[in-house]
Amino acid sequence: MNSDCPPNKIITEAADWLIRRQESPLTKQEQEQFDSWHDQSKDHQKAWRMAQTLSRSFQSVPSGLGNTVLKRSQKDRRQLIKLLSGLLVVPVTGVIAFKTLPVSNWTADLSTATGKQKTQILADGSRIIMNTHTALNILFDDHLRQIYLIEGQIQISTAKDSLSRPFIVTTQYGQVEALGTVFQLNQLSDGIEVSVQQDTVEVTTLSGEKQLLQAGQKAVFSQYDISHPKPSHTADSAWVEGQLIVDDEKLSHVIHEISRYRHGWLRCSPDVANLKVSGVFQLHDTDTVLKNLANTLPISLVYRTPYWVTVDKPN
Amino acid sequence: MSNIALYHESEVNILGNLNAKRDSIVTDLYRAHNSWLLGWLRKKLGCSFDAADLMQDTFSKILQKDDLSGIKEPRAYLTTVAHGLMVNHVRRRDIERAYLDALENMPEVDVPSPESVNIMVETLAKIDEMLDGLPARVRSAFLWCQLEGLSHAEIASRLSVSVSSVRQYIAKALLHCLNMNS
Repeated sequence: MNSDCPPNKIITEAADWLIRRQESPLTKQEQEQFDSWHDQSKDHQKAWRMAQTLSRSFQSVPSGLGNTVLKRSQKDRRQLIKLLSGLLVVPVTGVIAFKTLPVSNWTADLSTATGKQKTQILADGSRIIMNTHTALNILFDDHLRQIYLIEGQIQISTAKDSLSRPFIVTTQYGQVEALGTVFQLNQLSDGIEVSVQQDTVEVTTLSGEKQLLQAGQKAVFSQYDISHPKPSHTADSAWVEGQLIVDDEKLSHVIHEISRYRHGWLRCSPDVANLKVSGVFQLHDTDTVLKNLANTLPISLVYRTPYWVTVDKPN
Repeated sequence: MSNIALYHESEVNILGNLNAKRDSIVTDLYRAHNSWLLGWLRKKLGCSFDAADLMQDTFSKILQKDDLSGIKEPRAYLTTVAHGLMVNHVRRRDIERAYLDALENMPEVDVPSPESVNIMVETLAKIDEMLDGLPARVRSAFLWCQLEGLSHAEIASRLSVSVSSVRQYIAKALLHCLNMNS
């Protein structure tokens, strides 16, 4: 933004005048009001010139045609939308320079390796617990406390901020604003699951849909929509304690969860995918978890290498 | 084959344009990271031709910068520049396609000259860029008002919201555009 740009208040007033003039021709009295507004200062004149330039650029577009082009379907915009949010998906080692922000504002880049967790206290006293294979960036400025979740799963406990700055987690699908809270985000293949442990958060998707979630609720959002809130379970946050708690879940789901904490390839054969599993598993030692599963279920573990394991029917 | 030729041409062009001061910085940057950047662009765009062009544009743009001594993270820097170009490129390409489609469906319109197509695509791309990040409803209300001249009441009934909401939407979009331009 230029330093000689008119103050925001005057720009807002210019926008308002533009709307009024477009709505209907000004009365004589209104015109006088406008003139005295316009003549107040150089800033007023400049703001009005900006508004007129903008208005002219719209008038140069033939009606009907421009709207058809600009309202092209979301499907046609998919790559662009992905790209616009895509700067967040640069590998974290590269240090992300968000286009509009000076690099020095990035106070930290955090990531965890597969199978590792990390707890980080932020400058305002808020706490982030990062689960396996998670990457995020932190940007705090005078107005906003912002986390960019690049991938993975986090739990955030926000602290009261002396500057009363909002706390926002931004993702490729939209953002979550904490309203004094403990909450979790988990990046799924096609969306983000948010679950709230304390107080409230507000989810806003990239397309502008909004939803409040209360403590004890969870929902999944993608770019365009938010699922209906469902009750969340304590089991959902068991990962914070390094545990996986499942109750009558399919084996394929459990194996998928375990695979998040392991290097290499862990696959579940369709022959045993629908076996039901309940239990509490310790995530720091997934080999033992697999062994225990093999002891209690009619399955066998085929270790081709330590990094290539298939869960299959018994030999 | 054409792909290889294009790639080769980019390299000659870039290395031939260096002025002495930035010579070593950009040459090093290019030598160390050109294939990585090309891979990155190709992955994002899914098209080798566009990727090679955009890599060329990225280095051309860096050549025009005044101060290159502050680059601490070369790949982050390259991707930041390349990303901006890529967003423009994809936006322009989409809009050009949609514009030409729309023209085809309007038989009564004379075929415009390539220059006027260019100007219109440029204008539409600028408007599209200004509207980035606005909620869908705000965007629609604004486009109906500014491009089709619908009244606030008509827009309100299309969106099933009150007239005062429509006015708020339009004010919000207008302010957003003015701030983007300033």
